Amino acid sequence: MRNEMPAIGAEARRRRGAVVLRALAKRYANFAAVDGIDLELAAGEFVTLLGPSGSGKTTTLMMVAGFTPPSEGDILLEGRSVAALAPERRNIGVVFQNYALFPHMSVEQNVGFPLRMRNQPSRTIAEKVAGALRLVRLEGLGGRMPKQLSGGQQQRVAFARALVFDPDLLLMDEPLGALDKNLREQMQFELKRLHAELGVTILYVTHDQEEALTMSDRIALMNGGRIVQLGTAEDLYERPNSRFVAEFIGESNVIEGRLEDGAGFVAVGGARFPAPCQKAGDPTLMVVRPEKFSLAPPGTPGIPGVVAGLVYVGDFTRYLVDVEGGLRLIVKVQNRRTADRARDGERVALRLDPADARLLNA
Amino acid sequence: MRAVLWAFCGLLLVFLIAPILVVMVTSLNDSQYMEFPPRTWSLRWYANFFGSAQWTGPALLSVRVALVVSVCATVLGTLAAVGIVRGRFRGRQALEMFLISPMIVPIVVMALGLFFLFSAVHLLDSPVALTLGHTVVATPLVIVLVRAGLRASDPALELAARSLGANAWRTLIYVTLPAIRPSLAAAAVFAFLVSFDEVVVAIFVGGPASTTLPKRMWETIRFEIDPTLTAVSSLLTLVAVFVLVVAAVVRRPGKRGAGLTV
Repeated sequence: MRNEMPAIGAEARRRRGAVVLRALAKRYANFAAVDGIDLELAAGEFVTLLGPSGSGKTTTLMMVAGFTPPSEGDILLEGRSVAALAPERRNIGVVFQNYALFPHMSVEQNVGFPLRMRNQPSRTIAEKVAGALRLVRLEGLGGRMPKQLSGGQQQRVAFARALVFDPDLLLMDEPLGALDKNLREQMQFELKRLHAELGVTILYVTHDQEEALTMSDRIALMNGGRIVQLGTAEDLYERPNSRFVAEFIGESNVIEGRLEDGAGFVAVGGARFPAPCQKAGDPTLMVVRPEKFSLAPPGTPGIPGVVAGLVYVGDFTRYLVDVEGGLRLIVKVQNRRTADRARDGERVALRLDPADARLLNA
Repeated sequence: MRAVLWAFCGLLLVFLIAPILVVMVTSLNDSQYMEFPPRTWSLRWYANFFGSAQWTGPALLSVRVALVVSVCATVLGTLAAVGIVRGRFRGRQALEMFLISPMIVPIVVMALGLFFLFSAVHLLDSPVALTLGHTVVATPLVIVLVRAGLRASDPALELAARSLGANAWRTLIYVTLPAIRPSLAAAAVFAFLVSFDEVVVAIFVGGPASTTLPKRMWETIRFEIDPTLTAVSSLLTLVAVFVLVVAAVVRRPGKRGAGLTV
């Protein structure tokens, strides 16, 4: 595999493309699309901007690409500021959601376009184009027009075109958004393979948290034009720093209450939960992921509750459990042994390891 | 109900086409008078047209003016449309309204204005005046057609081109314009036809030294009754139909698919 692609590989594998966004902002007359973000990408890192629509992730990407001038802040690529450079002088590859293939050019002409713009000799262009098409497994389709390709093939052409000129950084704006679910999963895998082979730095935008969790080295979760939490998938899932993060990433039980000496965390309705610590400050929220609970027979140690509903999902069962004070919790239990399963209306005790609960200041 | 609808549509079509058909049939007359239907048939009025410098001169002038107008209006109108659709500047909408306003202003008013203007700069009765005048009339049409093409083409194409290393000009030449080639072709064809058929401006700013074919026809019907007129009319119609058919065939993308949509 490695020596099959001399055209792109050799240089790119010398990891480069460190990126620094410094206090980057895009403000309009009456609102801030991006409200001052700081973010550093190590060379070769895969970082995803994740967030609901309107959170500023695409605007951030457009500023890095050079399509939208920032109102404040700076963008450094390999240590030099590119904020004032025209997009064509930044050497950044961009993959768009709708592919943006040139409809009047063949696949080869599309992929060769960035090389022609760099006035490379036609022999070099032909070699690099062939190498790039091999890389995305589209050998033999170079003569086709974009319209004659499937969505997945078009997306591969877009990847090849964005990679063929050996960019310092690859930007991707929801690149898999237009594909159906199966194809999307297959392309996620392909993309990870390309990233591993080429070592190019990738800044990826998506609103699909599963995509972000499975693909990225780190995720910057955005909301309201700011980065609300930056970390690995595990950081964001296991250690959310706010209610927004807990509720945006995966499912969460967000319980309001307060810490009491000797009693753990007492929910507003009176239910008591074991707490991981008795720390200073006044945490008023506790976050527990549904799979952190386990079910035990009533009367055994744990939080007493009643099963108010359940959905069998195959490998696990999703329970709704009512506890003291009218609080309804979501509990996910692996279906390992039939004996562990509870029935609707049954009394149960919820077990929770205090280390699996997370306290937050609202 | 269906029958009534068909009958209505049929009547409408006859109403639209009948005048043209009558002229075409009459042009095949052998008589000195414009008889319909002709009692004897011949092509003598066509021969008369092609054999007389009175007619071929204006015809050639019309073609030459229309070709130059087609080029000028397409270039100007396309640049204007790119600015209107892709530009981001203050007063963009006002500029757009201004640029297509010649379509709303009555043509006689335009022609009168052009008459005074060209008379002031001593350009009246010249092919240059006709070309400039017709360009003014044709450019708004080009703007409207190209604007529609640009609005239908994905702006991400241009962003992609920029990110791939093309500056603004190369993006325009290699990506933006080729992507809307069908609209450009349609615009050029319509600009040609607008100039080729135009009579009001031709009457106001043209003269003995610059008589276009439609102007010659207008003078003929006013001062004499010459059946050559019917032959010319038929030829004009055929030219227009021919140009549109060619345009439709050329524009057909790939093998099959969208036909003539403007």
